[in-house]
Amino acid sequence: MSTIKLTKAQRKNRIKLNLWCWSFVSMTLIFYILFQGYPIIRSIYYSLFNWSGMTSNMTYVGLDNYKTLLADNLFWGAFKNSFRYMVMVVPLEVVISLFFAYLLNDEKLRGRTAYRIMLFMPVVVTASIVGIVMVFIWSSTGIVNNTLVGLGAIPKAINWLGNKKYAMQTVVIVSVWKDMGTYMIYWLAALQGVPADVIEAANVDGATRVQTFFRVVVPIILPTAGIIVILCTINSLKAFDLIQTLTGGGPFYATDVIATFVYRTAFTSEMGLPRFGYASAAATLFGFVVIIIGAVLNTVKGKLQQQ
Amino acid sequence: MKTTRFLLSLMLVLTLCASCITIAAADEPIVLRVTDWSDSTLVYREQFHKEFMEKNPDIKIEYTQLTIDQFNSTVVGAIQNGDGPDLFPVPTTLNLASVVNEGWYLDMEQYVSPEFVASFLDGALVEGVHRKNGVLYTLPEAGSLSNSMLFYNKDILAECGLEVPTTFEEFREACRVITEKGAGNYYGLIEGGKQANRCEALLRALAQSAGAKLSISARALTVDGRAPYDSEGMKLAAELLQGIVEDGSLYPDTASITAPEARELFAQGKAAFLCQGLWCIGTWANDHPELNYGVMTVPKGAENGYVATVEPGLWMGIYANTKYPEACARYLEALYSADEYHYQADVVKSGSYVSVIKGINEENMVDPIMKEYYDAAMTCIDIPVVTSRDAKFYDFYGVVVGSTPSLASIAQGILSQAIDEPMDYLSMLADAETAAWKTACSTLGLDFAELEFTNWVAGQAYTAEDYAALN
Repeated sequence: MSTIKLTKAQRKNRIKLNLWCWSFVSMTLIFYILFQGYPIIRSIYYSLFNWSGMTSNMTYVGLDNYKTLLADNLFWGAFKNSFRYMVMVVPLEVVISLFFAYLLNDEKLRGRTAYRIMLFMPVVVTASIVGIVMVFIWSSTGIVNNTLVGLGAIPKAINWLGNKKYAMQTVVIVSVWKDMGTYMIYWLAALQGVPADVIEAANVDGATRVQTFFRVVVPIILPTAGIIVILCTINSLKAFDLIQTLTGGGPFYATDVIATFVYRTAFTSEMGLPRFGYASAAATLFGFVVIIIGAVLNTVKGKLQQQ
Repeated sequence: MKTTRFLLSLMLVLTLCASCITIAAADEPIVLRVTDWSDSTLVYREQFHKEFMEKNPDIKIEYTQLTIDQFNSTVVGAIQNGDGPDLFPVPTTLNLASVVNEGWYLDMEQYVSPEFVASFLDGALVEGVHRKNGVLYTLPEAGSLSNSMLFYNKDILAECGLEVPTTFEEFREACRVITEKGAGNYYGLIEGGKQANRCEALLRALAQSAGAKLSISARALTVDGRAPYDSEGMKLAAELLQGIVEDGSLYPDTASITAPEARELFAQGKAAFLCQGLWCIGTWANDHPELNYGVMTVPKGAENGYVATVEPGLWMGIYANTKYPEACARYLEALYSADEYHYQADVVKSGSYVSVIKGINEENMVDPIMKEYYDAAMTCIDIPVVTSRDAKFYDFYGVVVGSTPSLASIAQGILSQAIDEPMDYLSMLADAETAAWKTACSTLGLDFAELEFTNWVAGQAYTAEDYAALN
């Protein structure tokens, strides 16, 4: 194997360049280690203890918390709900945001900036505020029920968030509405990367807008689609704030996802002390599952890109 | 020589600087950090702080009010790291034994006067709750009254031509009639169903009213060697709630509203009945003075039904790491003062709560509805608790692992119609809790049989001597 010999000046330059790069990265790295890496490692450590998080009394229990988790129906219920939520949210979020992005990418559309701002607005509103407002909107006397009853779509008002049958779907709708703007921005960035001459060529060839979209645009933006799907999947599996404010995981665990399970277990208890160690084990176990899913999706994306 | 002169000059300068700093520090008031979650008395507390700082110019109060969740997730860490507030309450998830073991609080009687301790009502400072091995660590915020009383809207009852219901059957029927007459404008019952603890309080109160031998919330008590969550009384209570829900007599959004929201909607005349505590009275007096309502104990479900008192609450203590324990003691003496300061009188007058200080309630309970509440609460009876006969059981609550779905979640499930067969869940809970309590007892070397009071007759009022004689 041949190696390229660098002159002293080149080596010096390279070191200088590397130092510059590291200096830019270092702040992010330090913050990542402090506020992400360290808590993750501590969480894994705590998961090996029977600890309330409130007192100094920690008992090492090895993998007992994990063993107990495997037999905990509520944990598995929350686990399933997390995936149910993901399965419902991701396709809706990806498709609807792409639809609006494609619509608002049209340069001929008047007031498209205003529409973009309107659709992006929910993203910047705090999730807890959205939660509080949505509780009113979806209540039995709220606008949704008034409209549906008025139109004759339902015979009487439904408590959408308080009914086991509809709570998860309602949370999904609110979540899609709230986060769609973020993914729309990603799609817009991807769509703006589609060469205009390719679109023009398709138009000259007589392709309709739908045909142009599926035959020309989609293949070009597919690599970005992979990233969007991965981000959306991971974000949906980490969902917490909106669910906590909308339903708190209820009614009777119908919308309980892993994050609400972990929060409830770590900070509350009806008898005895909270179970911080146990909650850490749940978070760690689920974290590994999310990492595996992320890795699998990344591999699939890589293969698709190669093709 | 030069060096010696330089060193001497330096020492002189440093001494002067240090003196200036000391003089400045001596002039600055002591900053006393107080943190709690007493939101219902905030107005009176702020008035008190103003008055206290005027009378004690050497002390500055830095008061922080948090929610219980915020307190548990932020202040507890600071306390553990030795940087907690000078005065703070015991977190709701801990008991006195745990915090004393952690060394969080000072022996209060080292700093407060004996007259101050003597000013508390008899029985207000309880061994195991406020004292451990005779040492006083914390004080109660207020007198303990049942927090599961039934408020009723007199105007709605009159409009529907109904009397106050006294039995389960009458209560369900009243809720049904009210809902029918209300035609969507008002309903029979409302509850803060988003808060599982309120759902549990309602179910527990109804079960006790149906004669169930049941402990107070978050405490263990067995009947025939078992956690008694699937008793006949509990079944009657669950069936009543299910019936009210099936009749459509429960306010439709109950499952997704909090207790304060339910309280507000009740005041707006959206429902005829609400099961909550004394804190409603002060809020309604301020926000809805026109509300025409009454208060009573929950209806009776059985002849031997009863309404239980609540466990005396533990609240504020002096932080072990405080630099100013004497100032903390002055603050507490002022806060609980019967004459020099008005805080205790103000909160009683406002209907926020009843005081634990002698003479305050008699002089200041002027609100008739508060008197009604107080009288109703005085009919409540004590439930035997294992810690009163064996203080070692305080450690039990630091070890026991609560089972899920809990009683609170099951109660919430009933109100939201999320579960069809509550008795199945209650039986599962009874089995799981029995096993958990046995495990906790065996871990600590306690006798599981002690959790049972074999000669306790539910619904019978006992004297203190009667309780002591229970076995």
